[in-house]
Amino acid sequence: MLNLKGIDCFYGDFQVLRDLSLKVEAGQIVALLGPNAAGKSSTLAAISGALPYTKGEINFCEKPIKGIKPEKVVDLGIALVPEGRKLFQTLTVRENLELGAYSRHAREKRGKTLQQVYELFPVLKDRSSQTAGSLSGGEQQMCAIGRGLMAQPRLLMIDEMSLGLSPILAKQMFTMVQEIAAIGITIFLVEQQVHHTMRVADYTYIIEKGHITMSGPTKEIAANEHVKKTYLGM
Amino acid sequence: MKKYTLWIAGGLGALLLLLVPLYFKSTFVLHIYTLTFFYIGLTAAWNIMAYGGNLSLGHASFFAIGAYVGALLYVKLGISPWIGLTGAVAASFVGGMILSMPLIRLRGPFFTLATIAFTEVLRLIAIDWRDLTHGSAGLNIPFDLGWLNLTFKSGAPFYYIALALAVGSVWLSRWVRYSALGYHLRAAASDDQAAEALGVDFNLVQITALLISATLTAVLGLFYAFYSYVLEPATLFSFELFSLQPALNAIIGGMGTVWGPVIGAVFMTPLGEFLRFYLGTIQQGLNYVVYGIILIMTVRFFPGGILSLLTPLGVRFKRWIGDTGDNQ
Amino acid sequence: MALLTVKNLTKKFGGLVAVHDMTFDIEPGEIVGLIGPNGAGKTTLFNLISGIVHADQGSLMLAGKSLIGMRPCHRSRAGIGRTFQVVRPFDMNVLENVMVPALTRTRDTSKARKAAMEVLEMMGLAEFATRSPGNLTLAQRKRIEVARALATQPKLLLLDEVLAGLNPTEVAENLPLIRQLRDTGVTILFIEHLMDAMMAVAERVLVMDQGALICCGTPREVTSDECVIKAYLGEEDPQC
Ligand SMILES: Nc1ncnc2c1ncn2[C@@H]1O[C@H](COP(=O)(O)OP(=O)(O)OP(=O)(O)O)[C@@H](O)[C@H]1O
Ligand SMILES: Nc1ncnc2c1ncn2[C@@H]1O[C@H](COP(=O)(O)OP(=O)(O)OP(=O)(O)O)[C@@H](O)[C@H]1O
Ligand SMILES: [Mg+2]
Ligand SMILES: [Mg+2]
Repeated sequence: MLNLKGIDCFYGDFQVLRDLSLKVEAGQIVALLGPNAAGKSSTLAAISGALPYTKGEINFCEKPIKGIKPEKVVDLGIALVPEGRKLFQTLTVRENLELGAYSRHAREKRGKTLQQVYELFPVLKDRSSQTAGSLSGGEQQMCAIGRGLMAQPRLLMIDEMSLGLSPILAKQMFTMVQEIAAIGITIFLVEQQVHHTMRVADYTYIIEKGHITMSGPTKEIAANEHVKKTYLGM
Repeated sequence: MKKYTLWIAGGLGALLLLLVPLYFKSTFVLHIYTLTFFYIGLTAAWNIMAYGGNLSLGHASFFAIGAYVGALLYVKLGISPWIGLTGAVAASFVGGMILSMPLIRLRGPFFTLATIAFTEVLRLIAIDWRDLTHGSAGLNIPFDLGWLNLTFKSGAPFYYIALALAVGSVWLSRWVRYSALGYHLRAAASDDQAAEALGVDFNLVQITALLISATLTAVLGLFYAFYSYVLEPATLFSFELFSLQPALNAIIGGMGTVWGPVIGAVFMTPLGEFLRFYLGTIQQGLNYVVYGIILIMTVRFFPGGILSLLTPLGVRFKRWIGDTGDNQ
Repeated sequence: MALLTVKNLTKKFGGLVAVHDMTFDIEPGEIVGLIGPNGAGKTTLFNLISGIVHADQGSLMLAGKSLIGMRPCHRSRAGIGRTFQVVRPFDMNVLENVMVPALTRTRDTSKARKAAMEVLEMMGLAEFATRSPGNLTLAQRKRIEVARALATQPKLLLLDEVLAGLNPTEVAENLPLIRQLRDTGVTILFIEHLMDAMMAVAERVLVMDQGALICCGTPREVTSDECVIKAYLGEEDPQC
């Protein structure tokens, strides 16, 4: 479904991504793991069109998406839940959610998706007319995930989904991710809660210093000694 | 060795500025230079408040306070303007304290409105207090030559005074920028709550900046009064000339930076005089149409002001002369 | 004498009671953890202690001195340092961000620059000194928050989810730093959802739910408490 081939990416003189290639198959949950500052968020930025790359190509559903503006990438069916929430702090929760559904096909189903999001996170319904900036950290994270779902994407990319969520809610979220995948939305996860991620992901990539150093079905990766030591804290 | 290049360039520039009055005997050219220096000072003073994120549109009030206090002490009591300076500073300090009440209570556009209202009230007082100010007709400063009276035959002395004031104001605004106060002002402008939580006394730093800015503006006002001889509320309290113009200069040059106001004033003052001269005769207010266009273009295409366009050039220039800039 | 004394502290937002009748003490030199479900009122409690938000009721004392009615800047000078969960860097480079609090301890900019640089080195941020915070990763920005709070030389340090965004190995690497800080005489109250971290460094854990303190004890006691498991941890060990 999504195919990155030999991507090189720079911030000024600094190269964040080196010859990065990865594939996300339709209907799967794919995880991208790696240490802090490895280039995970940058990879997502490159896919969503926010970060230009100097070499390589990205194909979505067999079509190249190089040079397409971020707002058009959303129209193709790729939604990103950015790290650190990036909500419109002065808008209400409801307005933030509705803004997630601005592409045409999402707008048609806006009312229905909104109900689904409220079912998923009942607290957002209670807080729907509160400004996003006054939500608790975890509530903001729920709102950001909800906004991503509002776009009715074919591919949902979530950057650090569990950030700021309580253990019980984080656990529920990973279960929810499996449910979302089951209804046909492909999921690309960047995570730090490696244990949980490995429980749900079908396929895992490891990125270090901007380069994919390891990839494979999650079970194989989880059994790797290096991975155990550097990521699982074992 | 390369570091000298900058010093030499600066020294040459300074020398050229000092020589100007010897070459240009035309009063008009000297006037434009002098006015530009006054505006550099005014814009730099205005900008000290902008470090803290406050947009004043009432600096004409402090300018007029300085002008009136200095001139009235001289005209009515015969006190030399050099001594009158203390009075101007004290009066503007009091004015600043009054304006500090809305400053710590109101944010953003609400404070800006308060500065406008403050100026308007003072203007009406100046017009109504006829015994003292001679109302809207205004009063003249008698022509008694002498340094003590700040009255001169030629334009050259005021050229140098204004130059010194401009250099002093820029130096002061630079000092503020890189002092503890400057860092705290920038933090307060960026996020007042986070700044407070880190120990920055929001009210104190904002009021301090206001008082520095107000008193500096009053000093400039005093000298301007003696430069122009005539004291009338319509000019000294002019919204366009002394409230709006410094703000425009700073925004166009680069607000909140040290050199932005200088660039803005140098660019806008001659242009303003030129426009007033040529367009003002065709249709009054036409010059403001041009200002409007320049402002919109600035905000739209280079929101950091002219300075932000020059900075990349400056970096390249520094690289070219081999100044790596790591000697902080 | 307790360093921080909180008594009957209450805060309402409209009809929502964000903090309800909280009472607890923190002794000097302690490392205390604070956990609770999302929206339990943990950050609001920090806001109350640091003075960003005013309490409706109750008393707050730092080393026996009442904090009620004191502005945030004065509380900071009295020794309360805090980080923001949703990071709030100033619009200036990393070093300058840390110089701002350092300059509330000294007026001398070169001394402040040196002090800020030392904190940045301790936090492993020295190489980013001249970068803009916007160009850093979230985990790095969280560390700027800690650096800024440390530059105020706090007696009581309030850390709000500063380890979020790190993987288990990185979390483990950062824990010694917290203990090291305590050993320099700083008392620490920290919010974290990462139970590994909580278990490893907290000497005592406070648990909040719906604004109220529901449980308090050693990490082991707290994690085996029925209420805590139900409201916060979820069934089974979060490890697997
Ligand atoms: N706008 C930018 N300009 C310059 N450098 C940047 C910028 N954004 C990120 N970087 C740098 O690029 C590197 C990779 O950043 P990225 O955000 O992709 O990391 P990450 O893997 O997502 O890390 P984390 O786990 O902390 O989120 C970091 O060293 C970061 O400092
Ligand atoms: N200014 C405000 N106005 C209205 N409601 C608020 C305001 N600030 C916080 N709240 C609400 O108070 C509750 C407690 O928020 P708080 O930020 O203290 O939670 P928290 O325990 O820190 O949660 P998290 O773990 O998600 O960060 C939340 O439900 C939040 O929506
Ligand atoms: Mg990231
Ligand atoms: Mg919180």
